[in-house]
Amino acid sequence: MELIKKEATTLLKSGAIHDGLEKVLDFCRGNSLWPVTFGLACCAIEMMSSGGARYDLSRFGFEVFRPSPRQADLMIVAGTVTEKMAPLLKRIYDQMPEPKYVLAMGGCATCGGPFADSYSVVQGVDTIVPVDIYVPGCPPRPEALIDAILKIRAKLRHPELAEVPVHA
Amino acid sequence: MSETNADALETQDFILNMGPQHPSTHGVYRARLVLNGETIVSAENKIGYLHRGMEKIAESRTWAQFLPYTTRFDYVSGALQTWGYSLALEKLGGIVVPERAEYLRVIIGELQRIASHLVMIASIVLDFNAITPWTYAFNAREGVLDLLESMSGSRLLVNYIVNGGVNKDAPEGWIEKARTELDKILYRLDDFDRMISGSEIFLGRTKGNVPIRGEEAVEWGFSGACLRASGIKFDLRKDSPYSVYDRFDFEVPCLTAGDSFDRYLVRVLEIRESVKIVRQALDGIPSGEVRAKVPKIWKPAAGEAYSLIESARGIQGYHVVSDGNAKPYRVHMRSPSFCNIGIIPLKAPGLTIQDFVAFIASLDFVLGEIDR
Amino acid sequence: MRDIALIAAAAPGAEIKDGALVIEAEILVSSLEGIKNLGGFMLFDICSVDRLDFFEVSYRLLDMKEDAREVLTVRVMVAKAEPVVPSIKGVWCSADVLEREVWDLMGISFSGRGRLERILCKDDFIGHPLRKDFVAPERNRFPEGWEGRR
Repeated sequence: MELIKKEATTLLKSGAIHDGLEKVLDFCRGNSLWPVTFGLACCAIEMMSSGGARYDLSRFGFEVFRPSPRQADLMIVAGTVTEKMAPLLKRIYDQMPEPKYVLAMGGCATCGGPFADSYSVVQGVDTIVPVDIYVPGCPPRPEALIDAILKIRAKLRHPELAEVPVHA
Repeated sequence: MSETNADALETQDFILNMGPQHPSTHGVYRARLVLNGETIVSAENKIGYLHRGMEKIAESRTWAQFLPYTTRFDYVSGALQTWGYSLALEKLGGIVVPERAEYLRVIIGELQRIASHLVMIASIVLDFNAITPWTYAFNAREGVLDLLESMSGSRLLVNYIVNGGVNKDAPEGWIEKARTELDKILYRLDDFDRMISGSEIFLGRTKGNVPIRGEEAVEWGFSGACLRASGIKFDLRKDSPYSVYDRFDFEVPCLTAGDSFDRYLVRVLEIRESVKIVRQALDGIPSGEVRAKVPKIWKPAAGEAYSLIESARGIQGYHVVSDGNAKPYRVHMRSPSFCNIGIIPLKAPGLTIQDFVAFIASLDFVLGEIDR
Repeated sequence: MRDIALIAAAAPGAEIKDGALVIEAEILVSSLEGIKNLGGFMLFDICSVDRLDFFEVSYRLLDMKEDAREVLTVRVMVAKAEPVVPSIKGVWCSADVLEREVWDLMGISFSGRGRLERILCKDDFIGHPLRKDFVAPERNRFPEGWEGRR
């Protein structure tokens, strides 16, 4: 009995049980990433198409677009972010509970896109929120969006895949 | 126990921001509502969350480089936007478009109109939480997008109608494919129509919802399907035909009640009329060139031009001013949705939020066009 | 469009120039009221152009009774220094949002309609973007030394 208690304490202290639990939870999270409806412009129409019947997001478990950020864990920034919209984007991002992921869809969310030299466009949503994956295209095809969400799923389960080596 | 009169209760008005992030506002539209309970006391439109400064960008791109930007105005019906701009440039430079190009323009334009109306009818039922009809309409739309993609290379933002004609000719077998696709679209639309147009829930939410009279609509600069639902039979394609629209036989659906149900039904009827037009155009398309000769760096003479087309949302106008250079001096786009939303602060008081959602869904505005 | 001479007769003070009407800013409201009384006209656009020496505001009216594609243009020229045009919000309701947009982007103010508010640019935006002498605020996202398309 004492031995079992000692083993259990060592496991708990070393974090092995917690890691194992996290792995299971990550697997579950990866299979039900619920996006928050953040369609801003043209990419939103492609996002809707990818949730439609042909390019079905539902087969991965991702079709539940929650309007409330408090019930979502993936923010797909689909469209151009303007300076008027930027504080609202940050506010919605802050309202999402951890762990949360951001997908920058399309050229405009990645870097400002064709409007990068405009006086009112934010050049890339990563100036405001940390982005996990960028999807190029104007607009990206629904298959590209699904590919990106699946890559987020892979990143979620194996975070070491997305580590960037730091050079001294 | 004393009787309490509900009207004698002191209540406070509540300010609610509907949008810009909202599942039912069709983009980044914000309505600042002052509510008394669930009834709207006053509403203000707050737009500009998608203002990308396109008219300023036009001054630093060449005439042809600005063409793909015009599709981003009304991104739900991208191919029709380039038509208005190309018409303005052709007026400015005196360019004559070949006949085959005109027919191809009509075909692609009407297909794009079908796709846009399908988005509207899908969105209005999605706002009422009917998700299956939304998938039906989007599935029909996928067929149209396939056709657009095989013609131009792009599903959504189609740069096909260009200055002087169209970009490229129809590929091998496209015309037969278009004919079969039209049958499929009508099949899905009949399904949708049967499900929704007589549905008690849909009728309960849209019949009698914000009726707009014809004179009011003209006062407020309405155009498009919203105007035709209010009893004014005005369609640029019939009343002052541009391109080759005068060669086709089609009706302009016009209803009289002017409520949200009529604004929805007009669009369903317009899809059927557009299918008729495409069928006639596919049968009568002549052979020939598809683009007039336009130099790569085009420098029109100084002057200005204004062109109007009947886009999916109403009358769209382009005002182009040239000072003889390769870049525009000024480009201005008259957006139909911009004028259509002007009536919201007038009509919103007295509605509940559910009615408000039905109202703005039936107006069918697109924020890319409003905010430019 | 109906005969332009007929329309000019209904709008006191209007001159015909290149197929469009040119009206002085002071008599704009009464002239446009005269055109409206003819019946069948819809105001559907207000464009503004910065012509370097002056501003030009063009009102586009659609004739719903005859050949609508011939748009009736009414031009008003205003000075660069203090551009003010009387508001026609009382004549056509559609002028409300259109005038706010012209004020926001070009800086031409409209008198007689209360305070003008920005509609498209953000509320604390400084300047009027579509003017030719507008300089966009500095942003440092582009790499050093790249002029971009400015």
